[in-house]
Amino acid sequence: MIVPRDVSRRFVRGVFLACTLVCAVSPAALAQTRQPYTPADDALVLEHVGLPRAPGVLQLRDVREQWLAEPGNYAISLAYARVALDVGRQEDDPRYFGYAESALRPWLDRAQPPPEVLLLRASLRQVRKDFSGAMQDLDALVAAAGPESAQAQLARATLHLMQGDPAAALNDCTALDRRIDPLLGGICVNAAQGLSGSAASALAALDQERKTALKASLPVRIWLLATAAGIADRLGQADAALADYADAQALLAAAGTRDPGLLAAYADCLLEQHRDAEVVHLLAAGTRIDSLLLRLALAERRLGEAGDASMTVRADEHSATLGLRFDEARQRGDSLHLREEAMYQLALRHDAARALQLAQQDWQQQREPIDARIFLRAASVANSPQAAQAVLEWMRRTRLEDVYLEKLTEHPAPGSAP
Amino acid sequence: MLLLLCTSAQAHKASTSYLHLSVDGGKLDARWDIALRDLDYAIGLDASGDGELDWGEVRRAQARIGAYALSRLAIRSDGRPCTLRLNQLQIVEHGDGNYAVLNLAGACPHTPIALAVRYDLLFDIDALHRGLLKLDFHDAKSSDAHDAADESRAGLFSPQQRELRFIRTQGDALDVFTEYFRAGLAHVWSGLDHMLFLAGLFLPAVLRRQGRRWDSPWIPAPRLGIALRDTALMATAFTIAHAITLTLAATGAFTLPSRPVECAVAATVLFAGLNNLWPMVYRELFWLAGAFGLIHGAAIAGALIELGLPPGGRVWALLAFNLGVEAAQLGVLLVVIPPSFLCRRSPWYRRLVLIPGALLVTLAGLAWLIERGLGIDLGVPLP
Repeated sequence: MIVPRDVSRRFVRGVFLACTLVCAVSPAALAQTRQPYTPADDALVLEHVGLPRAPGVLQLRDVREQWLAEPGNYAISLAYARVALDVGRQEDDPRYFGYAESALRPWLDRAQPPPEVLLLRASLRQVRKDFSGAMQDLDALVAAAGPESAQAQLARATLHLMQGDPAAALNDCTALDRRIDPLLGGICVNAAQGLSGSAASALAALDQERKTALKASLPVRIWLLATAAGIADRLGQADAALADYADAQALLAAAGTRDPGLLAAYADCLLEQHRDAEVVHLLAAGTRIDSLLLRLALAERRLGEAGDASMTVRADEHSATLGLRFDEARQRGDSLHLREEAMYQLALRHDAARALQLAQQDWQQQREPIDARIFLRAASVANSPQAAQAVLEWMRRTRLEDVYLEKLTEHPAPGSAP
Repeated sequence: MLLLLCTSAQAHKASTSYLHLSVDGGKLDARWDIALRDLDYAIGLDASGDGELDWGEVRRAQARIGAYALSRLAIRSDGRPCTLRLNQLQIVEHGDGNYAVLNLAGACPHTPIALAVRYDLLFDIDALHRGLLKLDFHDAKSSDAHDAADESRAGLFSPQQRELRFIRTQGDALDVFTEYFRAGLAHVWSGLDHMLFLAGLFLPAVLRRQGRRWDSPWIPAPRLGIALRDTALMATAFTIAHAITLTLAATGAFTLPSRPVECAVAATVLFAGLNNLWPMVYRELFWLAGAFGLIHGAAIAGALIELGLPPGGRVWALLAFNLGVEAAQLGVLLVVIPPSFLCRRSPWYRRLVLIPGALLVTLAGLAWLIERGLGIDLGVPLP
């Protein structure tokens, strides 16, 4: 197709002008985001509802149709809840957890829900940060020793890991080792040992498993890579960690799915190495997910401070969106984002006192190394290193090896030096 | 196995709608923000099926959106339904995406004092959905409708809390009094435990037991005046005691854990019923009524606080509520005592009313005590 030269030039000039306008106007537009308006153009796209990148969605639509036709059918309700939970994990979107709970409602209301439902309830409680409730369900399933008990024990091990209790996790993993796929049991054991004073040997053991893992299912391979990457990162081998994260991410992308938790850990590792431009590239499509939007804004903020003005504009915009989301979540009584909110207050709002408060609350919910890192940083910037005493004690008790935490405890309060 | 991998990253927020309701005289105005994603999941807006929702698709679905949303919202003013219709559909951006803005208008039969909002949006398909309510009362007499609200209230709807009731507190003192008086009446007349307790206490008003044995003789009351006086004395002793604990608890002087209090209320019902079958206390029953009144007052305080006590006129509202309770009780007595007085000498009164009634009260009290004390569901509706 031949386009007259002056038309194409006009087009280029028009696009340029429009871009400049958008950049100049966006802070003003930001202030008005909450004003209702009537769109002038029917073709204006308002929302993406199809979730094209989540392979589970087509199936979700089908199984939901079946559920709507027969909401009392146990098998259909269970299938719908499982798919919804899966998609919710991929999208990191609690709406799907709500759909799953609605589907299970008739059985959840029973005094004795069936074990399959109990296992799903444990997952739903876990994503809602009701860890003690999830633990209760998993305890019951493990004790009942039914067909669900192995899965429940594995889930309980990961729950212990999230709550910073590698010793309890190790107990579950060791018990599991004999009952399920030895590869899965091995990853579980090494994940626990990697957090309790045997990081180097755990990493070596995981390396031994890599070959076996090539034949394993995708989630198992991802778990191995993510576990190895986490340990390597904490041992100061960031390049090895980043290579594993990149492999895992490539595997997921090839399968047409994603794992927001893995992406967040990958981004955290890149941020620690000050590879901010790579974070922006990695997370550009993840703005719907709070944890990813936060890391994106952190990277943009740093690039902006390094002199890229367009990044400052984007960081401001993303930071404002995050603030709005945290406010709206608080209004509805949720406190699910304590970790991210503490990071947001510390690095984007520079309110160390509030960040410390949030980090303390977060520590009551979950105790992964990243939570300890945020807690120590907030305490250090807020000039109250004694506030994080619990973290130091936890580090001593678990014998956690973590170069970032060690650096933070060597220089407890850089801001307080005279 | 995917199920088991822990993703520790944090989610966006769960589905939430924002309902801002303004009451100006009998006029209702509302703005209701509902996420487009939620509307699409509930009633399907993506007509083209391309996974992208454009304004044309939303605009053309306006009637369906309005019908769906309004079928999930009901507003009543002093018990009578208010109307609502969709005037205009707009779009607004929230932190987690674009929302449909439903601009609603409607009217109540008269200026509401007590406003009940019933909300059922999305709970059937999304158990984590919540509705955030902001309610503004404007003074109808104020000249400028755009004035700041005279009184603002907030609330949260969830599957467990689908209805919220608000009583205007800064309106006319007489209106506040009337509304709380009415709430007091409703507390007695619609409260199953309260009515059963009264029945247990007053069933024998026209027949007295002499002695503490199960076969102690029944003595008919000699005159209607005496029966009425005795029961009124009991009712008043109950109300005074009731008012004391209610006022102390509602003003925050002390708080009691709700479960023991609920158990104690069940125990009083049990005792009141049992006392007619096997008399334990048969003289000066008003002391018993007073003691039980203390317990019932503590129990109702929680419910009354939920209803919303006016910060300025607490004493006034509490007085009105207690007077309402007293009036309701005396009303029950005036209706029940005279006919039973006429039948008191018939053995059928004892066999068909007194003994079965006392048995019923005893069993209900026992069932509630077990349900509340042990947390076992016996299927007896809890008051």
